[in-house]
Amino acid sequence: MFKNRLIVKVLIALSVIIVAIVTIFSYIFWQNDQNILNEIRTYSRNSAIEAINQNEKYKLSEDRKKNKTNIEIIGRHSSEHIKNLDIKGLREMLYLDMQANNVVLIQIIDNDMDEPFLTAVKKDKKIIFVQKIPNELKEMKKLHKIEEFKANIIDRGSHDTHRIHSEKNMSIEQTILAHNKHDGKIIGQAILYYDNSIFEEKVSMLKNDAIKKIDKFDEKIDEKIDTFMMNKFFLYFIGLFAILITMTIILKALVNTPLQKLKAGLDDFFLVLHDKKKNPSKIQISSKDEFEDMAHSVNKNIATSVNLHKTLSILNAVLETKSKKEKTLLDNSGQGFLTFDEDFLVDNTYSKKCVQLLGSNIGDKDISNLLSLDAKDTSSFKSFVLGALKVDNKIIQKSMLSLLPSEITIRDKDLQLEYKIVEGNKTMLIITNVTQQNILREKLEIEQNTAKMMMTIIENSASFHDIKRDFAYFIEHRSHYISTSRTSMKNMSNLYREIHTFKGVFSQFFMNDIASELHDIESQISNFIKDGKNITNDQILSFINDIDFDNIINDEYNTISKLLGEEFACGDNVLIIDADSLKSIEDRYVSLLESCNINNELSNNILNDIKKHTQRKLKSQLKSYIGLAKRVSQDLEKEIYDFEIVGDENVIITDKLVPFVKSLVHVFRNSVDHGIETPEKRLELDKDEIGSISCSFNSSDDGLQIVISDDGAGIDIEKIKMKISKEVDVSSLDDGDIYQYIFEDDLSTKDEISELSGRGIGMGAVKQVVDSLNGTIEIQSKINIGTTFIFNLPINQEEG
Amino acid sequence: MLNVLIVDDSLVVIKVLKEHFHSLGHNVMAVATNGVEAVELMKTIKPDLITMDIVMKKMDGLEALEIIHKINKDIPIIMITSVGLETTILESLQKGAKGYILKPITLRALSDEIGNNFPKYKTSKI
Repeated sequence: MFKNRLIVKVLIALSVIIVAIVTIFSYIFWQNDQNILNEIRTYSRNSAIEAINQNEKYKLSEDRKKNKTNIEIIGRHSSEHIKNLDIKGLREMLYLDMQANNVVLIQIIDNDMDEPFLTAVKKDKKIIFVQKIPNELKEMKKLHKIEEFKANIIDRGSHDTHRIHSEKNMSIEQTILAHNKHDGKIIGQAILYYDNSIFEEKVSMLKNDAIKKIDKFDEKIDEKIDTFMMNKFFLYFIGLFAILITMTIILKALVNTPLQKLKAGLDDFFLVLHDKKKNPSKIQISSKDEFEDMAHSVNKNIATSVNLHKTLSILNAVLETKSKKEKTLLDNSGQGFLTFDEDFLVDNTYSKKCVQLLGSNIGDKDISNLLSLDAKDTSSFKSFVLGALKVDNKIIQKSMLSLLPSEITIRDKDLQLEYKIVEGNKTMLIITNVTQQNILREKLEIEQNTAKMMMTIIENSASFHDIKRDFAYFIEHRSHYISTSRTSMKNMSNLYREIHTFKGVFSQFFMNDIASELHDIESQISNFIKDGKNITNDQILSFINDIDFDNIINDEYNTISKLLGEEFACGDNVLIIDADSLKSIEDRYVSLLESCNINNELSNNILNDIKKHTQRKLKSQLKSYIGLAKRVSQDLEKEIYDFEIVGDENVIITDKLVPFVKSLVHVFRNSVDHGIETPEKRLELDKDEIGSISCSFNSSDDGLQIVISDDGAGIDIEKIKMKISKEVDVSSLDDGDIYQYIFEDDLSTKDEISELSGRGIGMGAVKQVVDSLNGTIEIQSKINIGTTFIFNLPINQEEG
Repeated sequence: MLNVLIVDDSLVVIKVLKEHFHSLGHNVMAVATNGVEAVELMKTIKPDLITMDIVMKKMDGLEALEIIHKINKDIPIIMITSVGLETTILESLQKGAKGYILKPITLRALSDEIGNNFPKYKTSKI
């Protein structure tokens, strides 16, 4: 049965169809038969009832005729009895008439009397005589259909005898008609009551009887039909069964057997495909029909497929060798390849390079562990990968993958990571070792920085040598900064200020190594200051003496001397002619001029030219701060316009002024850091997003005036007031006085301490130098408009 | 030429984006300084592209993204954000953003994102 599924299906379908057709047709025929049968039944029933009705009508009319005649006769014969008061005779006459069926009452009325003359009534099938009409009759009249028949009672006198004679050969009707021709006196009335209903009851009983008989007959017929139907169904089923059996035999022979042969043949073929059998056996069907054709075709196809299969296995073998080669290729490339699933465990098919980059055995290990991600990074790593796996859109997938870490450092190796979603919902990780590239890049950056350093030094060689000389002096005499006559706090402040200035100046020359070393020292001193009074002067002294400054400066100094020559690095001047010989040239020239008493334009120009080379110019010195300000602004992500130094080219810096000009580095730094706002802030304030700084100087007999201003945030005077209010009575001071407090060492109106402008100490250094020169600093500031510093120095140029 | 709606509360970012869009030949049709304004604007205009800052005071970028996505999900929205908000970026991409640009915004990054969403504006190199 299980093997013959096709036959079962066909048989089920077939039987369903046959049963459906037979059922539909039988239903239609049965419906038809029923209709005809019903019509016949209705017809026979109707005709039976019709016959009874006809009969009833006839009987009724006969009865009426009879009653009419009877009452006429009674009317005719009553006159004699009334006249003779012969009640007995009248009773006898009425008695006969009352015998008739359905007659319920006969009444004789004498017109001369108020009451009826005589009334005959049927009561309980007996005939009684009364004078009045009994009440029962009145009720009977209500219940039954009572018909009245009336006749007049006429007194004809002498004519009677003649009439009786002549009546001998006449019918009753003729007699009545004859009597009516002779008018007489109407003396009364005879009335006959006739009850129709009794008759009708009888008729309806007859009808019911007839219908009952018909129904009984119908039932018998129905029974016969049922038996016939059962026989019919039985025959149907036998027919159906016969058809199905025939079909089974036919299908089995024609379809099932060939199909089984085909299946066996194909199974054989699949065994060959699975390399479990070498050659397939042929399918043999000789049924001379479509199955035979099919077997031929399948045989042919199997033969071709087997050949293809053989070719394919050869190709496969070739491909396998090739992919093995490819893996070796991947293994030997500089990059590591690995894949992982949604479980983040690395598949075992990673390239050899991965082992070298990530560790010995990485198969089945968690990728986030291998990449040494911390808990937070791991969770976001996983959510990014899972997010990318879920998305179909390649662009969004790429965006999500780009959120993953692109470079990590593991075991001193810089690894560049690239991610791809590959087939089978796997993530491929391509790891490239970029340590060497990074080292090269760092080297390049250092080289670039060195180049910048050299350029700045060459451009500002004079000030570089000043700094170098000053710093050497500081290193040599550093112990002198710690004076036992001052408090340790004061000494630390001085030291701090000095180192801070050097740090600023060195970073101006891109000498980053020295600057960062100095920054570290500065931070340590800053910590000492914070610790406060516990530090003694001796401790500070030993701290500062223990610092190996030579080591700090050596690297960068060596680089400079290597690149620019020993002479440049060690000499105090850029010029090949050293300063002293130039000075002696100048001196000799001056004495020559004096002795010859020459004072003309030409000789002055020559003297000035010589002086140009022996003296430092204020303008070129200040110009070096333009570059500084620009660099500082870049570090802080701010922008400032290029600016010019406005002032006389020929103003020179006397030796006395050198520390002052150097200290101005703090003013420029301050302007950029505290003054100029971020571009965002500036746009919000409706200012030009690029800030402006200007610097001008003027030298006159009164002295030197240098003006440095910015269009930045201005100094928040309220903040200063708040800070100093604990120690000073603010109300007695004007704004100018309050501004002076920004030079206090521990005051910085910017809340966070910035690495660049330090800890508000820079401005203190400026103040100190200006004070030593007996100069003044004037500050003008307006919130959100800017700040201007005006330095006035009472120095006669010629004195220098 | 694309008509662009910029949603950002930083005047500098707006300025930079405007300059970049102009240099790429696109038109900045409107600027909203927060999510509420952006959603309001979307009732009257139909831009081809929206750049959306993630961190804004009145209704942040994520919320605005969701609402605008409901109004019209065919308009590509590119999130403008800074480093450190990677998880938020993922969330926004899952919620329908079509890309993101990290601050500071470079012409290259913007051009790439436009090219990703509008292949006909793809440029090989700037």
